[in-house]
Amino acid sequence: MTVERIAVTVLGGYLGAGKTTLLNHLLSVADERVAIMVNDFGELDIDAQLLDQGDGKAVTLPNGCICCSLIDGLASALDDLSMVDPLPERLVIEASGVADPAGIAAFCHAKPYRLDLVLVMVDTVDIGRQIDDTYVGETVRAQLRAADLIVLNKADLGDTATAAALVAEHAPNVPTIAATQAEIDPRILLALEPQADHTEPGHIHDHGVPFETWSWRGGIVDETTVRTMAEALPPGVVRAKGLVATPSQSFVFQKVGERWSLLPTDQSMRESQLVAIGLPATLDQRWFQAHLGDEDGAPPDH
Amino acid sequence: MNETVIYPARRIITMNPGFPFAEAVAVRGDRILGVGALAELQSWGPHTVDETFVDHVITPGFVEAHSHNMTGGMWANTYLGFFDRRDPNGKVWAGCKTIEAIQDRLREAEMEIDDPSETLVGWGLDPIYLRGERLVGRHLDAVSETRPIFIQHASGHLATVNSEMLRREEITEHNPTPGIQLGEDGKPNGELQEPAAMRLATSGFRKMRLDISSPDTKWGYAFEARNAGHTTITDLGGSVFTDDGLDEWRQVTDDPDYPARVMVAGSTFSGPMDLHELAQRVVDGRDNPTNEKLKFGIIKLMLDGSIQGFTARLTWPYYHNPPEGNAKNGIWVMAPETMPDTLEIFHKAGLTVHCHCNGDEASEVFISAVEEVLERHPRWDHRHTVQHCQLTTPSQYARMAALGMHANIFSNHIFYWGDEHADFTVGPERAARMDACGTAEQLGVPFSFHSDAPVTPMGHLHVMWCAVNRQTSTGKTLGPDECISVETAMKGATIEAARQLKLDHEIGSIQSGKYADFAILEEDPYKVDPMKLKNIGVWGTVLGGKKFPAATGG
Ligand SMILES: [Zn+2]
Ligand SMILES: [Zn+2]
Repeated sequence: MTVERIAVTVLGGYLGAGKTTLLNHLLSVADERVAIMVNDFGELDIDAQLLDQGDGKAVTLPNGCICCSLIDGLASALDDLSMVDPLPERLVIEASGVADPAGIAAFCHAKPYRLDLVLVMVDTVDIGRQIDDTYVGETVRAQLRAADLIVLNKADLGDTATAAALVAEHAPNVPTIAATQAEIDPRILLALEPQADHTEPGHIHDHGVPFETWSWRGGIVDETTVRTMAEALPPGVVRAKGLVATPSQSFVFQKVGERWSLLPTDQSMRESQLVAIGLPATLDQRWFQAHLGDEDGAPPDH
Repeated sequence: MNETVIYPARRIITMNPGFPFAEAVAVRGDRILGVGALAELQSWGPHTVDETFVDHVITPGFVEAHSHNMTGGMWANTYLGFFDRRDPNGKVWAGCKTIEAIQDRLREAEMEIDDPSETLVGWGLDPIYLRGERLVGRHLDAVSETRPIFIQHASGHLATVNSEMLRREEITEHNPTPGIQLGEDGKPNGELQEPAAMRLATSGFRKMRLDISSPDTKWGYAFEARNAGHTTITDLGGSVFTDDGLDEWRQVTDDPDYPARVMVAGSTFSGPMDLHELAQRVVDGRDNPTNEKLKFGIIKLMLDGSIQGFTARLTWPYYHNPPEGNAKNGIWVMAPETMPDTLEIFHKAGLTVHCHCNGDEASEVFISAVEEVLERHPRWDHRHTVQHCQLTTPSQYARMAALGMHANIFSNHIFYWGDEHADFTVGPERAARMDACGTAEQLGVPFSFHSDAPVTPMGHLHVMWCAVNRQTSTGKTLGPDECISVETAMKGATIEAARQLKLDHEIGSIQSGKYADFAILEEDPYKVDPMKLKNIGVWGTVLGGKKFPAATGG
């Protein structure tokens, strides 16, 4: 049987970008069992009450336990967490301000984990200085390149257009969204459920940042058709999830940022469904029908 | 009152500049009563004369100011390194010079394991030295096709596993983890690069972790020290600084048979801790000692990675010949801009901060932070120490001298990685001035040197040999102008290391009032050919007046 894996959110970004604020926000909106792994509790202001309410667990992420990496600290922390009962449904790893989130994400494909989202927070006000800093400039640029999604935080205090342009120079294909107080739509932050909100395309406004959702339902589709569709999804689609029935097998489809996966599932289905969220007007209402066929099971247009 | 014992010796090297040599030392209880001529010492009253060391040379017990207790846990698994290495029980394991030798060693180890499904773990493999074919999973399949095998390389950055491990842990070409190496058939060939991929071999990774966190590890750590003539060792980060973690240290050091003093550095590496709370715990530990062997007072911080891993932070022109696709510079472990405020917490608490800085850009950040914090809170005699200090430049050494800083230099690198540094990491000129004990001495920076065990084997005679001769493993001399004298090296191994730990009022030289902590050597370091320093035999140690002979194998 397929065991549901722990979805991992890697939260990166330089000092002061709002990672802890985002973590607290995430804990307040999550309705799943969340574990968090942070570098140094001493420096952080984690709302422990939020963690307790969610039946969660906090683990320290050692930043390299000794000089040599004979036993990696992150690997050890992940190994420990993989043995707790019950397992969390989601793990949020808050990287240190100088960590490369890609390095952390590399650890998240091991059982029982599944990399969900590499989210990199940017300080809209200060990014211009950080990106060229003698000591940490390259570190900050690498963080941007590692992201599935970049959040231009402190949007109320700075010029997001300028920040977005700077970020795009280094990470041209990574979608960016603006946020104030790190408040981000939970459907982007956590998970989209295909069952929910599937009938009508919708608009929501979350603290001034609009997203649009798109959904699709159909019958049995070809695996190749799904893969072609996944490649064609434009970067403005920040997150998508679907259950896809093919003639031989059913799959779970996930897309976050530029990364997507199609993993087999034991559920046997005769129907397929898909939901996506992203920047407004990224897709038109018939995009999925055009790529996957319509609800009667008729083949796609092309 | 304790009995007085007088130990005559072939020679006693005291490292006390006012009384450098003697023929005997008198000990009462755990302290040195005095040194001098036998007749002079007899004036202390009733005594016995113990002639055990009459043919030996006695020096102050060596003081190691940078190692990690996990070194004592490595031996739970099978050693596969290229160089001969002595385990804590004194057995010398011959280096494995060929793939066949590795296979034979593993077959022997396999026969010792009863449970046919238990994972066989080896460590210390260094493919740089194995000429010819690269060891892959197929070679391990020849050892066993039914038992998972996990081999960790000396660098810590690679593992090789057999097919049974790949099968059991479901490590396939479809796993997106970077570092799973594929063979010509497109399937994993057993080599797992970097910890993310190594961790996929869960049973092997987990066995190593559990082995190094057992209490036996702390004993093995002190046995290794004793065998090399060390009486004080420093666990520089790696200890859990919680009540439970410290209780483990109290228990082992309370045991009269535990053969070392241990300075346990405070760090946040393995447990959640507010920095102010950590500072307070270290101060409390220092001011309220629970026994004579457990010491506190220093903090470990870490700024960058390693030079051989191309992760140390260098100034321009950065790395010499880095592997394809490598970043231009290394990584930060701590954000440089947070260094002054972090340092300030411990500086104000009156503690000494030891900061890992392999690259010269890291040293620059730490030295500048010390300068800034001293401007905010002037404080005499802080002894903040640059650890590793491998590429620190002469101008940085001059600033360190002016600021009252110490250096702990990783001289063993010259032998173990010197050739790689000249050819790949930093190029010939910077390699020639790496681990610059000569410059430190000339510019007046007090320094010690270290093994960083388990990164290299513990043993100050070997580290001294490196600092004095600067020979690489292929016999080249790397930067002869940085060589130091045996006299200076002896200071680095004893009194200067003690000073760095602020323990020089208790240990580090043989003089009246200090602990009776001795290294008992078979030869006189001042009289052997300096190229033979590392070959000097070690009888064992005396710690607090108690004899601890080195284990001789078995
Ligand atoms: Zn270090
Ligand atoms: Zn170390």
